[in-house]
Amino acid sequence: MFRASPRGLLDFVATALCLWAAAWHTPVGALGRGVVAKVSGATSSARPLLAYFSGGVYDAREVELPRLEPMPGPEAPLPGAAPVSAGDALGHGVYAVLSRPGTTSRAEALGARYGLGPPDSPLAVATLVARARDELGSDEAAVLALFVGPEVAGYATARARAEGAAPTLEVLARQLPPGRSSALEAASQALMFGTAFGLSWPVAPGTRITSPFGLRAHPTLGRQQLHTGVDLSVPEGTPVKVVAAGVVRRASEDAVNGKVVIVDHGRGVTTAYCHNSRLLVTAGQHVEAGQAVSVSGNTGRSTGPHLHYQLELGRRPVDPLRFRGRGGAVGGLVPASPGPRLPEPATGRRALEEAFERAGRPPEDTEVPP
Amino acid sequence: MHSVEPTGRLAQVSGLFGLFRWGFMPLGLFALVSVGVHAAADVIDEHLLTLVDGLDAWADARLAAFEATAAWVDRVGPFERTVVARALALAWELAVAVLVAAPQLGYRELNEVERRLSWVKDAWRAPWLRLLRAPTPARLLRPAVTAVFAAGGAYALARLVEATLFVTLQSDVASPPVAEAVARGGGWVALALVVGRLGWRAVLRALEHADAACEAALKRAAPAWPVGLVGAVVALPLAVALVLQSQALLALVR
Repeated sequence: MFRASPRGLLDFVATALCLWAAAWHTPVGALGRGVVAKVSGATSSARPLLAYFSGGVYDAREVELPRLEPMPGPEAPLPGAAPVSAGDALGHGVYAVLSRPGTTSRAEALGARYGLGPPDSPLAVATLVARARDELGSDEAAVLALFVGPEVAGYATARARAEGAAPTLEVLARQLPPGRSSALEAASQALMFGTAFGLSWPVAPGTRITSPFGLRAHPTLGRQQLHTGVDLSVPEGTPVKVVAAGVVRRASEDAVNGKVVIVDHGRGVTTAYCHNSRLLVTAGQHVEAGQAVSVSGNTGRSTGPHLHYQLELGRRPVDPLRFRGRGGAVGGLVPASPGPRLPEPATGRRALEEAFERAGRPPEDTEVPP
Repeated sequence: MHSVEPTGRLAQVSGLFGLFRWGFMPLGLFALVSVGVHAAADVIDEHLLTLVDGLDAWADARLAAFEATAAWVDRVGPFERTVVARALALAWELAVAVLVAAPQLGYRELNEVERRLSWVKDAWRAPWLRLLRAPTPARLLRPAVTAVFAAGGAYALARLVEATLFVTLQSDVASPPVAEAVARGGGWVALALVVGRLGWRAVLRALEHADAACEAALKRAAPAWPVGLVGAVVALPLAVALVLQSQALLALVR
């Protein structure tokens, strides 16, 4: 038993703050709101309980893929891929989200603030993101600024850094008040797409695709089944190069996928490489873009030597060819560093050379398109 | 605890709220600890995902070895692994909320008349003496983990108040630097208010609850040390995870 205070205003205010925080930011509160809604016959606005662990970003919901040019059919070789900088790839990703009907953003206001034109093309968006990155210090904050404004993104970045945390979107999201879920969702999809557009290819561009992504009759089981990646026809012993920097999430073997490597690239992007003959990395290891992570083979449930390459966005498998447009619009080798800086964005080989100077040159055997 | 007593009309209003302390104080304590427990669960969910990934790899290797179970290998993909990891984090959080936060709902206060009639003068004194004389896991760990969760909850709440104030003020009312200064002040006030009015009560209530459980065991002639052991084992990793993130508290002074 505690001694009662005859007064209660301060205690009531403290209690109200705690109840507000618990009701809106914890699964326990969501359960409570659900019960109250059920009793009162109202509709609860609480999120699903498991969504309270994602911060509302890179969530495992269905990802609405950006519209791109038609992908090559089965047996068709991949188009030649021109190099694209990380900045340009991010511009493509953000543009894909901005151009969706119904998306509200502050991109135009941000462009006007920097004296730039309307964000009506991937290049214009890339320029805008680069300017915001110069001001805010990270791609995540720059993209967030397009949807919540630069002041709020700058505030979230400053507070994240004060906590000693890297300003990832998850960390920035924790610094924002409630009611920003649609902006965070848009920013996280833009970053996911931007990262996916910047991925290189695990084997030589032009490698034949023997089985595309999508429903197919399984070659050994016979039944219709979703093929969650693309099968690339490579002879056994071909080095498999990771398509972007990341952390190895899994390096294991089973009788279905064979020797498999899964790499987490951050921003909700994961890639998997299956049916290898040898693994060159271990779980938890950090890998750089272009680093060989395995040697291709014919292990597991496989009818011949090939590499099964799988791309996952928001923990859903998606067609990796959707992020490699025709005519070299996107795809190819990606410098693992910020893209071109304003005011004079470099292009083509010069951009690549500058990026190599900043981030280091890839190993000699990495493919560099002409 | 010294506080400035309100005067005049404010005192009347405060007195009016004081009539309902029996209703809102337990809820406030429960909510504070729950917010802290969630902050801790949010820290461990990524670690749980790594664990689930490892378990899935282990299970895949075994399931794929037999034709009858090989088809199950592809049933658990990244989405399912994430759901399982988050469900584990949620279950863990709810378990700790039941074991550590729910006892806060038993918070009771004595008014002055009751206090004069009761032989109990200070809630914390007798349990504190018993804690020193006969420490048990429950008496030691329950207040400690509650203190960690209350601190984590208070910090999460202060961050929420600060962000809300900044976003509200900077759009129309004040320039961003002014809004940031006001928001920082608001966050500090919220932190001080919650810690000063609720935080210490939550810790003492946890001690009181653990002590009562130990005493009840002794009255049944049962040993007191196993009391609350399960709760401590379940809650301790979450509390440790939160303590390991305590560098974030430095943001208060940066």
